[in-house]
Amino acid sequence: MKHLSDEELYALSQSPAGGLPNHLRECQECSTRFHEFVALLENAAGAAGTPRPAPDLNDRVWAAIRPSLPIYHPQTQGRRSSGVFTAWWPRGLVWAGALASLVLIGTAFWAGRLFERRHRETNLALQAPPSQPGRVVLLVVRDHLDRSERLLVELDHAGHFARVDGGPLAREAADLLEDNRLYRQTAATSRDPALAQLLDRLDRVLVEVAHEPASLHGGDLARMREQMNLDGLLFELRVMRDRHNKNEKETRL
Amino acid sequence: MTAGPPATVRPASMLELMDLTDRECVEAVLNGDPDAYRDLVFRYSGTVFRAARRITGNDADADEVVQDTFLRGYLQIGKFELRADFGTWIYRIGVNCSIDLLRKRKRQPASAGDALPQAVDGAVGPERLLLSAELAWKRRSAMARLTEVEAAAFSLRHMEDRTMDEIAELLAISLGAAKQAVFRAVQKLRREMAPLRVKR
Repeated sequence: MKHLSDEELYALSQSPAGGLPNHLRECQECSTRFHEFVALLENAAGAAGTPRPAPDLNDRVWAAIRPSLPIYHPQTQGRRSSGVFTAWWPRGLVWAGALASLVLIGTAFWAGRLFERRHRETNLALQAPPSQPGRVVLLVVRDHLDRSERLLVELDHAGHFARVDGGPLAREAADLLEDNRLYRQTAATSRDPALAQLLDRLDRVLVEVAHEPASLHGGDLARMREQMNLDGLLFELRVMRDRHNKNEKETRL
Repeated sequence: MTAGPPATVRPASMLELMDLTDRECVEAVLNGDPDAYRDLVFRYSGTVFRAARRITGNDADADEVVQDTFLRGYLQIGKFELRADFGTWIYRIGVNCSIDLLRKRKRQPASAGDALPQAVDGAVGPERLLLSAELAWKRRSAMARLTEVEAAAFSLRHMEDRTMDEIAELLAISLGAAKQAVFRAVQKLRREMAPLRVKR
């Protein structure tokens, strides 16, 4: 025998007017369950009855809520208020608020642009090319160029003699060589190609002089001067030194 | 918030209440007359109270629901469509306030008084009185075990005689969900109350 489901019994308990199936008369189990539903719903309806509010309910409710009720402002246009919020904010105040917001946004935008420009100028100053290096750097490089120039002038003059003591020249060249490499690397990384190129050529001359024998013939020096184009290097060195002197004056100002 | 003046007790004659329609009351409120809302409170507080009493199960909670309902209704009156029926609108708010209160009550620990059976009818014999009190207590206890939506759906269906379509609309759920909520509530109550029916 197939029993009725709870859903079916519940549906029957709500609308018995439609007639009960024969199964309920025959099946004790389904009949018991059916009457459980009926009793439950009757009990619920009976318990609910018709609640009677207290006679003073209206007055109590009104007295309780009246002090909390805001006053809505009448709408001058056809559009109705969309809620209490707008009722509390007069239309003029809303427009004033909107205008103030626009001014605030504009000011913030302008201040942001100004800050960005100043910040960019600061960065540019920090990243300034080495064509205008600091005063200490200029002094050091100028000193190195002066010493190099003196060495080249001595080499130029020595070529006029039959034999030269190359010891002091080689030591001076070796001494300059170490500094020259440091300045050359710095110039290369500091985006100063003119100085880097000059120091590179100077480096080759210094290497050559530093490794020459202690006793040099005048002919050896003349060959070196020609091969290395010492006159041209000396000219470039003087131009570079003048440029650095000028930069130093500007920096001092 | 711009609070209004202190509550004033106006004479509430039926003639005076009949003067303004619901729509006119709402429009008066929106035009700056909060006292026009009093008429709506007097007209519909009884209806809201009955629904709240059936859902929450006691008078004190129903009173609280009525106050919350009319306060919430006033604050949301700008959203009320003038073409709609104010009674239906405020009733829906009342049901939602009742559900909110049931949720709040579930979060609070039950007081000692809640667990005691209370006599419901003094004109019958002691055994019948005791059984009736026990039945009422058991029913309240079983209702308290339902979810808020189940309790509201069951009350609306079997105490307020609302249709399933109305329940679905009031609770803002689908028709199928409303039917399921009612049936789940019935099943739970049936299981909880079965031992008492055997005694009877």
